[in-house]
Amino acid sequence: MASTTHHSDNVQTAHDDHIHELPTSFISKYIISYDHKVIAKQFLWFGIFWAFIGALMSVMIRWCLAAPGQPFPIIGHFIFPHTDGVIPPDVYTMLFTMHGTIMIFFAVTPILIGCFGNFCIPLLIGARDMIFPWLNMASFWVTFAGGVVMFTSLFVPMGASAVGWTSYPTLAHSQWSPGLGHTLWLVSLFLVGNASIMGAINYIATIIRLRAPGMSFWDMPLTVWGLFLTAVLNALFIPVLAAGFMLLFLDRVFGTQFFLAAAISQTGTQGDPILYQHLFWIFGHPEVYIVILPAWGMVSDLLSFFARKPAFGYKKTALSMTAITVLSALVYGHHMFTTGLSPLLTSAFTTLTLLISIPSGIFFLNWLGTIWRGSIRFHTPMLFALGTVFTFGLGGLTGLHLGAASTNMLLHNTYFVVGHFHFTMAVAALLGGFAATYYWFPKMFGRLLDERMGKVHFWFSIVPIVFIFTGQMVAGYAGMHRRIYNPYEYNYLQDLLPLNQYIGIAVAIVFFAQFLFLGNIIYSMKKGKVAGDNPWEVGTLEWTISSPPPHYNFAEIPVVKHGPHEFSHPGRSDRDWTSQIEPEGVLSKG
Amino acid sequence: MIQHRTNTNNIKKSKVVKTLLLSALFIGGVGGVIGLREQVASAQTTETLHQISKDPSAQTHAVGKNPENQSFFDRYAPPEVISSYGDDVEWLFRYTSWAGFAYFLVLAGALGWLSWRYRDRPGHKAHYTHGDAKNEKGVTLSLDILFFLTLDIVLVTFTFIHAKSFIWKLPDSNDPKVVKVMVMPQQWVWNFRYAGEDGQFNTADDIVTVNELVVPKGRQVYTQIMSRDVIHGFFIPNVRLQMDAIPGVVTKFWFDANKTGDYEIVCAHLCGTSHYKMKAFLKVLENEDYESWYQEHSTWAAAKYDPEDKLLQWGWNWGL
Repeated sequence: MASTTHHSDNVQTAHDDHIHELPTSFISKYIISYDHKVIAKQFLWFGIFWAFIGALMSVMIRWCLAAPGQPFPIIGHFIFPHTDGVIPPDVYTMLFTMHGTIMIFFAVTPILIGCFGNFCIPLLIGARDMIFPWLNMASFWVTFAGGVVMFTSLFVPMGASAVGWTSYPTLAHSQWSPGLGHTLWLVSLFLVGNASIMGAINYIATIIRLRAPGMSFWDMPLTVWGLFLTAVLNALFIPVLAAGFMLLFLDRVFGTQFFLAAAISQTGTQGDPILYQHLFWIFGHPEVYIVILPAWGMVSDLLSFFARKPAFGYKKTALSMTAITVLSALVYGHHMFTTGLSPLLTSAFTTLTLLISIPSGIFFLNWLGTIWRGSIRFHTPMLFALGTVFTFGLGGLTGLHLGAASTNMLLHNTYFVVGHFHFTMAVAALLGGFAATYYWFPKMFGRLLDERMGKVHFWFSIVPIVFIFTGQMVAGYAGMHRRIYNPYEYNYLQDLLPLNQYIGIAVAIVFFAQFLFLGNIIYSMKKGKVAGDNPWEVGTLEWTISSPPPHYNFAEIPVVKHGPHEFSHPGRSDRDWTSQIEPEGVLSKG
Repeated sequence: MIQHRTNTNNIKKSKVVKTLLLSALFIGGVGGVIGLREQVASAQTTETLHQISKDPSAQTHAVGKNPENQSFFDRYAPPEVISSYGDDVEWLFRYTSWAGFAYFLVLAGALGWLSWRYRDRPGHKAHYTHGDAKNEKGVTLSLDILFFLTLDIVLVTFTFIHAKSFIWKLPDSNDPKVVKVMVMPQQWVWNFRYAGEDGQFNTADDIVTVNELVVPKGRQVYTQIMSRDVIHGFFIPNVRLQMDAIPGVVTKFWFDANKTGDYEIVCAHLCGTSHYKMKAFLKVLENEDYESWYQEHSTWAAAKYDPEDKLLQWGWNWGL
């Protein structure tokens, strides 16, 4: 339980060190702001903007598979006048490349880590701002610069990058993908990667140094745990990715041969394309957890908050997430079984990969334990949190097929993989992001999002989403491989047309359902129900101050007396929640 | 402050009506769209198949699934297994799927039931526990261990067995019954090379085929694969395993086919704009037919050999 330690004096000084004046001009208030809350909103709008572009791309991708050779409705004729509105195969290749890139690096990462990392960390640990506010601002603007470069790359001659989001050499070399598109792609992600490192350093330092007096690591909300572990992974592995991209950039622009194999039919003389895959996946597998860990943390908290019950096995959940963080660095080889890894590595990576299911199982069961014997309030954030649990269960269980080498070598590069990773890192992260948005929106803007629209949004999202990615796994098992413009070139895939059409319809439903969310945000920012300080009746620190929080959050740094999940304590009868700052006496031992 | 409990019956009633209306709208809408689409879909399937039947090469290779009167499971079943190890891989896939599905039903069922059973309602209060009691810890841990034993241990064991018994059990290169083929994909063509009469690769009497891999039924086919340009993926869905083709790196892979016929070989790895069209055919012949095919093409090979055509002279040291 919370204990006040001698480091509280240092914390107080650290807090007081960087208090700035309240900015008054528009630019210093909203554009180059040092305020973590403003930066969080910047990341939110940035992420939502890109998420809609990425989602539109996915609609176009699915159109190709559901209606091959037919013009894309409404906007097709404007974008592709030379083909009468039909999406051509080279554009299709660009579409899925950019869909993956945008969704991972420009939508999910900015929203979950950039926005909610920035917004939640100082507020939930009782700090006045991030420890390095300038670095925080730089992190957003470098991301923004990366976004500008990526946006530009969509319109250069010979088109955007078209080598898949994994950017495997040698296809990614200029001989096979000429033009500026992929070079700009590398530059953009190099910038975004650097911004992520800045953010990660800031998050780690803030969480270690600026926790309010009395808040030990075991008194932090699990959201902060998730964001902390994500930041650790970001700081460790994005540099590896950046190195890989840098080498590939040198190969493309300056003619080096790090990843370029020598002349045809000669082996082992010069560069090695497999080296890139090692560099990429030693980042790429942790990236899955980078994206999903914040969502896990938030969901663990939200389940407790809305079930009005302490988080079941709090320490075990936090330790499981830590164990997964460590293991995530040791399993990347399962992305490379088909490159002819040695038998030893094949067996080792299979074993290590499957070990991940132990900690995953523990916190999954803890989630169920949290709602067990609770008193569950089904507000929109809770619905999205439960949706995250459901889809993550589906995604996690289908990961087993891909962890084992022999079934992996059957399913590798098929739609089974696509369905699986969308469930885990896309859908679960997305629904987690929605849960977080519905939950913290009142703290951000002072008004609640409309509940009814939120619930309609939830059901119109989750039902088709589950159908889409289950359908993709069925298609993958039937042998449909990834990244193909027209599956019906193959006789054995002819029968999949109706399935792909159903998926296409479901994608359209999900896409249009998101306008409800957008409309809800715009409507509720102006006309939503006024939230008050603590609309959800939750005890964590951000709900002890006004909504939206004042400049510098806490007029007085709070002193933490309780854990974050003290609900329905038998020792008190006035209400079922206890604020983290209430005096210890309110909970008589019951 | 927002309302946490439904206090009056009026609100409850209107809520129920609204929910019912909304779900009816949802189900009706989805059903209507699917029904409409089904009609278009069946028309389109017939059209696509009609187009294929006009293409004579496609006709000979048609796999022969009947689109009419297919059950769901037939329609979305993977192509039939033709390799000796395909059934093992298939079995492991099905085991993982069914066991995973069973656990999913339990977990999703628990999620749904707990959500319903412990919903917030007047007079109901949450139970205060941090989940640290002995029996709570015990249940969590034992479920986790059960899961680990029934899924992970089985999967790891079978992966080890599969790795030992076929994935890494490459055929003996010196065995005359083993068919040795070099595979070299390039954008967007599959090149196959047989050693010819002299048993040496990259010589004048090699048999070189494009987009057609001819193998005898029931004999092991040992392929060494290297790409000419970008990474490709050598995948025969009927065989059930795949191997990448990488420039500068030779990967080794074997399979066998126990049923004559024509099967499709696909490029599984993104290799550029025409990736989706990069297909070849696997032609499985009876052993005698294969031998006569081999003889015939060996005699042609020397005649077709052009020392000037450097592009066709590829190959590497087979090694062991």
